[in-house]
Amino acid sequence: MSGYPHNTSGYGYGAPTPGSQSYGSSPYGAPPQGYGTPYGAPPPPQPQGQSPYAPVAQPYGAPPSAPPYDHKPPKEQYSSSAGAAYPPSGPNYSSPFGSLVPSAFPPGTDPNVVACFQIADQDGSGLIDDKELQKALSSYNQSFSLRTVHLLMHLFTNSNTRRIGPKEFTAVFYSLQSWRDIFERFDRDRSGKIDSSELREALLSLGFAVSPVVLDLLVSKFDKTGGTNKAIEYDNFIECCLTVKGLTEKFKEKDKAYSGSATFTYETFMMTVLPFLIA
Amino acid sequence: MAYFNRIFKTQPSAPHGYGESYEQWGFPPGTHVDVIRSFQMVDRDRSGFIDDAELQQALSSAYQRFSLRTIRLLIFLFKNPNDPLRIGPKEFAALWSCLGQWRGIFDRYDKDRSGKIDLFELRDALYGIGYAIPASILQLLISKYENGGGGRVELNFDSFVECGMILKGLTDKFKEKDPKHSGLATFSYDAFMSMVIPFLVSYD
Repeated sequence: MSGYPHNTSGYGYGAPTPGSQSYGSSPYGAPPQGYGTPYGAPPPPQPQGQSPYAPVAQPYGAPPSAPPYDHKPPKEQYSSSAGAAYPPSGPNYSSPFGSLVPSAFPPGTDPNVVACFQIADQDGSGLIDDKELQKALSSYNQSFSLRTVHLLMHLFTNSNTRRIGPKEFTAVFYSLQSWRDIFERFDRDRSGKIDSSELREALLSLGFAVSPVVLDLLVSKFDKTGGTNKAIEYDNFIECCLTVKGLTEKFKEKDKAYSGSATFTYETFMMTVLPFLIA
Repeated sequence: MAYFNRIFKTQPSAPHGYGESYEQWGFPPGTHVDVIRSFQMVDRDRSGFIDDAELQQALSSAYQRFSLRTIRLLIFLFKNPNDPLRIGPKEFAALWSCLGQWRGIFDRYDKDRSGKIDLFELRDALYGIGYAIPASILQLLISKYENGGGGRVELNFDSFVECGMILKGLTDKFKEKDPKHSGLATFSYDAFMSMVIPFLVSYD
């Protein structure tokens, strides 16, 4: 697995190469520090473009200039340079988030994830809605459709409320990163797209074995061209993963004996699958 | 039951005798000339197939403007086996006729002629064609059309068709797996996935 912090240059998502144009929005065309910053050192003066939030990690108790964490974030590969990445705490020790956040983020959460959440949570309520999540993720150069954001919220809260808190946000964040790694691993030619057989392998590496029929359906649904290119771009790949993961988990919940078949009542069936269709 | 079948077997009706002369275009015998004209108007290259944007245009002249989302769902559900992206005359005629039936249902249940139907009218409309859908399901489905204002959700014809196609389609699939009408259906993993994915529309 390639070192996450180091692939920003020369890779389609981080640098404005021709291949990244198809993502349309500026996040992918942003200068390399956009994606690399959170885990690389040193950060630009205003990592999120909003200085008031720079000191938000203060609640974690890292004295200025000390290594901020004795925990590694869940994914080793994301954290290799995290220690150095952490900006010394600024003067704003009286962060309004200080009392709220530490109770909710899992211990060892990357401070950048915390910052990212807090930027999005403008009213400090501890919950963010769909549009705020979309914005929060795009600050990490991941631009997703509202549909994808809704799917994320559904899967990580197991509800249709379309609000998430720090704990779910952290899970969303790390899942997205591990999926991005998988996408990059299978996008061998760095085209920004993966084809049908690469999608099959990618899903397999996530633990989902789908039949050729289902694979064809997925490609025809998640290919932006509706099936002409038979290739899936990054944002649709995420949407595809969320769909397969969500539906598979729902199926398994009803197949407790691992028999390979599941029985649903009509209402359960509809309530299970509709969230995926209305996202 | 006869009514039920009439609605859901989308046989093109044949009130006009245009059949023979238009069969050469690939339309089923008895296809209404308006349908053929609509198709030909948008099939400018005379390829005999139309894509999503062309379908959107063709339907806009007869019904109202459909969102691309609904259009793509329709194309997928009515798709011809050889081309997942475009439909030919036969599919177009079937689709047109199906929409006509949904239009009839919509108008019948839009009692105040507002051009919109609410949750209760939707429930009645589906009940009227043989689908008793629990309120929880309808509520979840139409929550998709909430605009955040907290007001009552109302569906225009476009959204009504989208909802109707999803509910009817999924319910029919469920029933296929519940031949004894026990209220329980058992699926293999593959059947489950293949059943749901066709109703996804990933485009915004």
